[in-house]
Amino acid sequence: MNADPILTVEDLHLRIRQFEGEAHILNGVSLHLGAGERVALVGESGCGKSSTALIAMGLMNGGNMSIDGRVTLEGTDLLGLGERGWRNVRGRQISMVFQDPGAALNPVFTVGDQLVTAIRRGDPGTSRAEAHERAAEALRHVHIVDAERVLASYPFQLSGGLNQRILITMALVNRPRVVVADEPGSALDVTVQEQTLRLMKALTDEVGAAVLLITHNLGVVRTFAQRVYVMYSGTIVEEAETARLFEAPRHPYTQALLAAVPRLTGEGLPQPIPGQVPDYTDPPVGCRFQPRCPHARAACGNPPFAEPEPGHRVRCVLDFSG
Amino acid sequence: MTSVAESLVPPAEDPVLIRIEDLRRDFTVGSRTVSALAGVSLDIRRGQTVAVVGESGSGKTTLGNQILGIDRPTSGRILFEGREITATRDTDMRRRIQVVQQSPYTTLNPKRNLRQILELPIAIHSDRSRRQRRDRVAELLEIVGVSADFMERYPYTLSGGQRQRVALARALAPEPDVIVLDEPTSSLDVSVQARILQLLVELQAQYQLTYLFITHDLSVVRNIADEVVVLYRGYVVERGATAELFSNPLHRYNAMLLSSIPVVSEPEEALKPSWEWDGSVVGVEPSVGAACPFLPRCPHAVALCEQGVPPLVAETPTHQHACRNPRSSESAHRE
Ligand SMILES: Nc1ncnc2c1ncn2[C@@H]1O[C@H](COP(=O)(O)OP(=O)(O)OP(=O)(O)O)[C@@H](O)[C@H]1O
Ligand SMILES: Nc1ncnc2c1ncn2[C@@H]1O[C@H](COP(=O)(O)OP(=O)(O)OP(=O)(O)O)[C@@H](O)[C@H]1O
Ligand code: SF4
Ligand SMILES: [Mg+2]
Ligand SMILES: [Mg+2]
Repeated sequence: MNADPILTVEDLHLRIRQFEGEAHILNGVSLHLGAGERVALVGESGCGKSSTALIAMGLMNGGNMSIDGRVTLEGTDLLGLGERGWRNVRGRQISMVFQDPGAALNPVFTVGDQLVTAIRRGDPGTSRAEAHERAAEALRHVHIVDAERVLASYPFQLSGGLNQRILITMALVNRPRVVVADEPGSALDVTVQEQTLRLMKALTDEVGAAVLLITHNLGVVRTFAQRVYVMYSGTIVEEAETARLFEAPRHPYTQALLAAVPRLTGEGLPQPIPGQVPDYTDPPVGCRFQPRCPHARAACGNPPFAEPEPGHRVRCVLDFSG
Repeated sequence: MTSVAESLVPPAEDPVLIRIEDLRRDFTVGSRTVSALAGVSLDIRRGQTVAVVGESGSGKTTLGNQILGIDRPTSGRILFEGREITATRDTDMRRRIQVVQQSPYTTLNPKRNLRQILELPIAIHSDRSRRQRRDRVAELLEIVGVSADFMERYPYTLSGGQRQRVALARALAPEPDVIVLDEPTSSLDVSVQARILQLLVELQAQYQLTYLFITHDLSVVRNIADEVVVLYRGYVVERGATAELFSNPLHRYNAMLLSSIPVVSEPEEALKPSWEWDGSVVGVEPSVGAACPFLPRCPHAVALCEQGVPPLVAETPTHQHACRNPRSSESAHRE
């Protein structure tokens, strides 16, 4: 199905030197996005989802960090890019939508200034007037009727839902190949979140952009993504097509995560997962979920990423599919 | 005017603990006045969990603040066990209603350790000795599932879930009747959320607590609330026993809200009402109070919707709504 991945992450390791010792945060993360594909990366807080995304965006570069592995966008090696090289890639071929539109938009510039700048960065030959016209057009396209008024406004003068619409427009205005969306709209209301996801689906479809959606909300994954990676403590523990993952989750972590979700069917309180995400300076050896896993046994060891059925992969020595 | 605003559950059952009558709270910022609460009436029965849902800015926290007495209404009354507490409360009254807020990162004073944080409400509301206060702190920590060894620790050394437990211990310290829970789990992971919800339910049973549960997570509400109040721009637009309100949403805003819930299974999907996401809506906002507050976003508006704010009407003894063209009567109004 994804003969030609557009974004590939291979065996990614992130280590951060800290006062308490070295934290080995990403431990061999591999994933890929097909052209125009919507893929979700899901897991509890602190599992390394944002770190993975920020590395793919070239935004994780502290002096105390070391990053190993390969990240390629249409064949271009992203980890080797300098700040200069990134300027041609970020916002043009790969762009990002953040969780909180209030924080992601610059408060001291008008929406128009920010959109015009984004358009001219992607297409330096455009005049300001042309860019302004394109910006207005883009806003009308996302059903903002009074585009001129919105362009003249500062972000704080607009509602959160409108700002989220603007951010998505901005991320797509240069027709990127990949959009990384980190908890988009989750800082907002459910109705706005739903509208945000619908809009993102429509726009990315239209430009043919692939989406990497990062979230800890499994419900959002189910409606938005075609394929899912489940991440636990810096490793991908399961990968499957969305329908398969929700019908027949194989990894005990995925199963536990699903059991922790309160259900609209009203079957009572959800089940917590015992324990917590381990400390990265001293993670468990072998399967990192072992200390919290109800099925853990001596045989667990360090399971490979097996593929018990085509397209469904799981990092667990036991098979719980039945 | 208060005809249907009274109790949802037939009397005889749990007695009314808090009665809210036509509560209004206007905020004036510059030349603009916002009615955060535009005439809210509500009964809260002892031992119940009443959920307050609605989008950001709908007035949920403002309502909680009136009940807590940390903000005063512009008009209307609040009664506690029949006694009016709208304007003044004595120390004992203040003891009886406590709060847990959303962000465990900002609500605990970072300069105080857990013992100091928990001793304060104990000292205010009782005259225990130093020794007794310390024992009570240890006891409170045990109750919420935090080791008493953590007493000398500071909040920043705790996880989000642990902080929320401490916030809960602080609310329990003065032995309240009511706890206003303002988004108590919104900043937490599903797994930690599940644990805090369990703890809340256990504590409620053990101490006969009454909860006002403010949240925008409707899946949580479905599993924890006895009754739900849906606020929209300061108005109660629907209210009912939990199962009824979810299975038979009547007000169009409630239908939109329920149809937005992200769910993880087919059976849940089947319970969601459909919503016309691309339906055409009125662009121009009517002036405040002149029409249904939801009119500008409502694809189901009929002429009547523009004639004043629709009043709450009872569909069943335990379910009320304020919609002129409610979901169940769709066919009748269409033709
Ligand atoms: N710049 C940094 N310095 C030190 N530790 C970091 C840094 N960035 C991330 N971490 C640590 O890496 C781990 C993974 O963090 P990350 O933000 O990637 O998680 P996440 O899955 O996105 O979580 P969330 O759902 O809370 O956003 C965490 O333990 C975090 O504390
Ligand atoms: N102190 C204040 N001064 C001015 N306006 C206020 C004040 N407090 C609240 N408001 C306004 O009252 C309305 C209701 O606010 P409130 O905080 O009660 O909403 P909420 O439902 O709790 O929203 P959220 O889900 O974002 O917490 C909003 O329009 C808000 O801007
Ligand atoms: S009263 Fe009218 S405008 Fe308001 S929700 Fe009902 S149908 Fe829509
Ligand atoms: Mg993150
Ligand atoms: Mg609030």
